[in-house]
Amino acid sequence: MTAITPFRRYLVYAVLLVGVGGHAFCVLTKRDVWPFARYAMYSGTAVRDTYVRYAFFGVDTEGVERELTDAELPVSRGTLHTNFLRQEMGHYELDTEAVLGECLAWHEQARLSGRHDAPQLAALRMVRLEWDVLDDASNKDTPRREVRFETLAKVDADE
Amino acid sequence: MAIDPVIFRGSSPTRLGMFRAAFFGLAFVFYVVLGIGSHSAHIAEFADTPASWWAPMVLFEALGITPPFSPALLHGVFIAWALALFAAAVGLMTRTSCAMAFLLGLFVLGMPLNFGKLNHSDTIPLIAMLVFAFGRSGDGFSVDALLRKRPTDVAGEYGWPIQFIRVVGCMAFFLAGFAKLYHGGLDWITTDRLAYLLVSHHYSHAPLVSWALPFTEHAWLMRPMAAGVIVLELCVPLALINRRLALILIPAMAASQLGFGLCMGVWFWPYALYYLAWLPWQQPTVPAPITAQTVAPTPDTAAVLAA
Repeated sequence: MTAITPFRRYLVYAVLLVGVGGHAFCVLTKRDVWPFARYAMYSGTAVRDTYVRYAFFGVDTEGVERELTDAELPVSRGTLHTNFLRQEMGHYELDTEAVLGECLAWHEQARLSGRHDAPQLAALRMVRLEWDVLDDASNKDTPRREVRFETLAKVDADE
Repeated sequence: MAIDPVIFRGSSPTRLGMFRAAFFGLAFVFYVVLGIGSHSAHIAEFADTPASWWAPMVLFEALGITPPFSPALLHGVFIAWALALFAAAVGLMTRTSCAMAFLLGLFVLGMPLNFGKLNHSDTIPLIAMLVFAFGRSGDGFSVDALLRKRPTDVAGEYGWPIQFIRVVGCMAFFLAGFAKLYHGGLDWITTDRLAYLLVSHHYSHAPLVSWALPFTEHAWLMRPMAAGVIVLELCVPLALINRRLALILIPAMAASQLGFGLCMGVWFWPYALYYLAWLPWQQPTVPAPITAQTVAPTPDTAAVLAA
C-alpha cells in the first residue's frame, strides 16, 4: 500500500478552496455566479396580504380555455412567472407582445413535431392571478383574474 | 494541516467505488430516465427557444455560448452526458467519465437557467462530479478495477472525496440559514414569514398535502418552527465533526426538505444524491496513514531527533 502524496493533499485543499471560495464570493458580492450560490432563496422576509401569479392560458379552436403545462411552453411556467413578476417590479424588461407571440408559435411548432399532444391554440393569454392570502388557502381556486395580454394565432389566407 | 482529520478520513477503494456507483447510478436515473432537473432531459428543445429570451448566466456568457443552437448538437451533448453518467456509474474510464459528466453537466444542467430564473438544486451534484473526477474513485468496485491486473490501494485517497462532498452540502445548508439572518435579521423568525411561505405556495405550487395549513395561524407555533429551521441549517456543519450529531442533523435536514416538498410543492430531488454521501462509506475505526511522510524514523533521523 502506498500513501497519498503531499501534492495530492494540497490539490484536494486547492479544489476545496475553490468550492468554498466560490460560494463565499457569492455571499460577499450578493449575487449568484452559477454553479456557485449564496443560497438566498426564501431568505426574504416579506409577508404580503395578497399573492400574485402570472399564468399562461391557451384558448383552443373550440373556444375552451385552460392553463398551459410546462411541456407546452418553451421555458417553464415558473421562469415565465418570475420574469413577468420582475418586470412588474421594474427589475426586468420584457416585450410582452413579442413573448406571447413567440410562445404561441413555439406551441404550434411543438404540437406539429409531436412534442406535446395538446390541441391547436387559437389564442394565448397572459393572465395575472391574484389572491388574498388566507390562512387556510380556501380561495386557491378562485383568484381574481386580469387578462393582461392576448395574442391570436395567425390564420393562413387559404384556411 | 489542522483540518486533515476532518477531510482525510479512512475508507477503501471498494467503499468509495460503491459510493461512486450509487451516486452516478442515481444521477442517471434522475436526469436521464426520469428527466428531473429543470428540463435537462429535453435540452434539445432549447434550440427552438426564441433567442430574444436568452439571458445568459456569467459562465455561459464568459464561454461565449449564445443561441442559435442546433437541435442535433444539443441532443448529442445530452446523449454524451448520459453516456458519461453511465460510464462513471460502472467505473469505465472512471476519471475521464467523471470529468466529462461534470463538464457536460455544466452545459446540460446550466442551459435551462439562461432564461431569467436560476435554480441551485443541481449545484451540489455537479460539484460532486468534479470531486469524483479528482479522486481515485475508480480504484475499486469498477470496470477499471476488474481490468487492472493488480489492485490499487493508496492510503488517504478514498475518504476525502466522501468528506469533501459532505462539506460542500453542509456549506450550502449553512449559507441558506446564514442568508435568512443576513438579509432580514431576526425578521424571518419574528414575523409570519414561514406561515406566509407555507400558505402562499398553495396558490402557486399545488403541494401534495395541506397538513401545515391548520397550524399557520398560530404564531406561537410557527415562529419557534422558523427559528428551528434556521438553527438546523446553521448547525448542520457540526455533523462533519461529530458522528452522533450527524445521526440527528442529517436525517433532520432531509426530513425538513421532504416536509417542504410535501407542504409547499418545492422538491429538492437532486439533494437525494447528496444524502448518499452520508451512508456509511467510511471506516472511522481504522484510521489510515494520510501522508507519504508517515514512516518509521530511520536510525539516522532517530539520532537527530534524540539530539
